[in-house]
Amino acid sequence: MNLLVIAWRNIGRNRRRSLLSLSAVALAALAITFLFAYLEGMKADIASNLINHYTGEVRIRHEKYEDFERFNPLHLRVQDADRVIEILGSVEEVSAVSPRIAFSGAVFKDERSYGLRGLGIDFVMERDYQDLSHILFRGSLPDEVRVEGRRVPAAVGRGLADRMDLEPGDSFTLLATTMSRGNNAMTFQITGILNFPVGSLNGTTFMAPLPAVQRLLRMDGSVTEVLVKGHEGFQPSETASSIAQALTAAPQREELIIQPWNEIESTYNWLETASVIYNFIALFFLILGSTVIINTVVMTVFERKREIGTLAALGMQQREIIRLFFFEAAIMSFVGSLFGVLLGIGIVLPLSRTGIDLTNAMEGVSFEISNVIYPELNLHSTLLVLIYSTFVASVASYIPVRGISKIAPVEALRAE
Amino acid sequence: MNTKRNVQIKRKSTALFAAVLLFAAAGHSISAQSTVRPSAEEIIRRLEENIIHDTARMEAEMVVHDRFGEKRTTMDIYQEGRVHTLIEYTSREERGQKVLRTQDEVYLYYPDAAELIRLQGAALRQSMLGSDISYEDVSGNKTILETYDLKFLSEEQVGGRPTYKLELAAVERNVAYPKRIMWIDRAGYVLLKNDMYSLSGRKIKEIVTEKVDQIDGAWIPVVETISDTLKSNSYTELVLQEIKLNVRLPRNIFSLEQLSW
Repeated sequence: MNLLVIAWRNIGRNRRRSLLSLSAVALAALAITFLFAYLEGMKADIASNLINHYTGEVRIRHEKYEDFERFNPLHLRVQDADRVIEILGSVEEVSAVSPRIAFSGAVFKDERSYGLRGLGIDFVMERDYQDLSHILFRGSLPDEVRVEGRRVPAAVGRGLADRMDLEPGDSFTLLATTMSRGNNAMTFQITGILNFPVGSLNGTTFMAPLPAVQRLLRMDGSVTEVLVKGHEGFQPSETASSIAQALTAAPQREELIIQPWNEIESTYNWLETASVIYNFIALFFLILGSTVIINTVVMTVFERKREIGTLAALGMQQREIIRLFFFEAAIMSFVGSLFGVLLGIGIVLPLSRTGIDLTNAMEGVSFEISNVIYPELNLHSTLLVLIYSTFVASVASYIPVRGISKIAPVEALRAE
Repeated sequence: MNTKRNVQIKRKSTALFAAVLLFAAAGHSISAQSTVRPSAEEIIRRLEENIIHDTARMEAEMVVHDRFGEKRTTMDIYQEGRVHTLIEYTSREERGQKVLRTQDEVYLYYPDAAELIRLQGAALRQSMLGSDISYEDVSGNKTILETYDLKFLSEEQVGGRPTYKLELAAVERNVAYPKRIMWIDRAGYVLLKNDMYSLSGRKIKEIVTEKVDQIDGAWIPVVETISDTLKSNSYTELVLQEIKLNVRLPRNIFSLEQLSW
């Protein structure tokens, strides 16, 4: 009779014990399925935030800017941004371009001072780059509203608006350091409130038209960076390569650094490195869950010693007996893993639609992670977890099963 | 006869010797009085006589040195007593920008902004044009005597000049520099060196006078180096290029209306 069939029947001989064993493996598999799905969701979220709000798929900057970034080094800039954008228009891989100025400033209001992070954006070009209306919480985008006098239209992050008690129609005057390290100030009128997905952007950032920001900072046609998105089907590294080639003729080329987003130091790189650690954590969980199966196999071998002796006396080879007990353990591992993964999928699927709200936990955190994470199921978090769990639990069970080879059949028949 | 004459000569000699003794004693007394050190309060009073005037008009240049190089800014400064100061920047990039100080507030005017910026309280600690000088350094309407308790420490040489070294401890809590040590030139009562400390005793700022000029009888530091010790690789030079004291200033020059004009 097929050993697998016999093994399957033997599992049912002590249902409670078998259920306990496979439950332990199921719990471990469930936890790991959720963990990997959550990590996948986090990686996808960070990638999206980086590409839309921080780095683009490819970023063009002055090569020394990052070394002095904390000092707001506007003089380390991309000069003649219009020329650079014109050249980018001829690169096949490029689908959209966003020239930007990132800068910091202070507002003094009601005896308090507020540190702000400003973004000078070309709102017309930005429409091809990303749809800002998706994050528009209230009011209108700055390029959709005319403001009077010397005020400049701007949109502020929701957290910032709450902090400073500002509504559309209100204005604030920002004091900033210019490119030549002097000072200048400008008055901005709020046209809209933006709900950035990243909490730290929400609490500090406002967006204003690029020409006004260039005037404020005395930057004359320069920007601090140009972000690029590529057409689908092209890898960021390919796009970066093509851009580098195209910009050879551009002025200032030797001072510029062109980087695909996944080569820029960010939380994403950290998460990728941490993935190796998470695999080890998963292994640990599975070994922990496997200890119950190991215990079950040890007890089973001990209790069924006489049966082992009988099977040997009836002519079953020792390796077949070992295989029988191994199959029992392997089937429990597989069933437990399958059950755990299915349960994990059942938990992750609704969360992948509603998301996990981490707003309170993310307060004060400046990573590029959104306040709401949507776990993502994929091959890694499902099929691979199933195979991984089954394999680990089975291999762990093999150790006590090997002990059967040390049992002499004659001694086994004498066992109580 | 000779005896009578001898006695007369003796009396005259004795009187002359006594007179010489008296004069010598008086002379010693006078010279002793002229080397008596003035009190710490007197030193500060005379220092402030040098720096506080009815009115003043100055042209100045500020050079900020930092990790990225140097930045030069020129300005016209108008002062009235201790309370009112108006700074108008005249260098190309800052032209039209103004700073008005009155009482405990500072107002900033920028042609590109639709509103004035009003600085008060902690906001006064902002740096002026990225320099080592804060708006707090140029504000405040109380005298040193009203703000600090004084203690004479010693007499020291600074740059080859004999100075009085004083320690100042703030009597109020809300003071930019709770502790200061000043080295004041003995001859001209001008501040040659000024170390400023936080409440914890950490040195925050240092001002060194490189050059002094006498204008209308007042000794005024015309070249100063200011270092904010909390910033690395940074110091500021302030050079007063032209100084006119007790001049007629335009009417309402220190008003908010004139600021944005």
